[in-house]
Amino acid sequence: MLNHVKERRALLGLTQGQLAERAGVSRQTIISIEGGRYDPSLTLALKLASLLGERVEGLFIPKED
Amino acid sequence: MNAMRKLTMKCYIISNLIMAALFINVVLFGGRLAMGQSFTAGLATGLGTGWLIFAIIGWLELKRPGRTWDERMSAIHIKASAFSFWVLVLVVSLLTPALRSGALSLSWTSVDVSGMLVNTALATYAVSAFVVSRRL
Repeated sequence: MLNHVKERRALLGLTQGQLAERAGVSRQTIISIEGGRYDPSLTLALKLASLLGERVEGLFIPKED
Repeated sequence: MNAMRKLTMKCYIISNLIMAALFINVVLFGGRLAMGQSFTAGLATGLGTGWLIFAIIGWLELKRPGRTWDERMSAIHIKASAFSFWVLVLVVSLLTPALRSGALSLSWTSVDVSGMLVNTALATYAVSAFVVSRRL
């Protein structure tokens, strides 16, 4: 799944650590999500979308096969 | 307690695996070493108690609000557990006919087999958790 977490986070001037703390996950989890290695659960995706002021379908985009 | 504040889940898992391996090895193989029965029993009790205290205090610390046992860590744990389980099943399925085979005539005792299986499971979990954490 593609995502714009890194771009949105940078736009809001947040560090990975700050976003991780607000989302209640580890910084490593944010790094993995931004790197596209880990797809978050729906709960975490909604939380990240809310924290980053973006709709979840705008933040996470399924890869088209 | 300050050291516990710096405890990470990775460190907790690895420490537990090491202590488990120490404890299990003393229990399984301690009797065969020339250490004396009461010394072996004392060593096993000390290691077991230390391991239990560390496991409980460490777990309480890691579950404290503000710590980071999150869904990614759960995913790593689930994948590593599943992998080590299937490796263990494979080892058992290969070992059973090998131990029964007259041609191979392996002279392993039940203690040897139990120790080998436990160590295989612990080592496989540790290695697979590390590999999965690198990839996830």
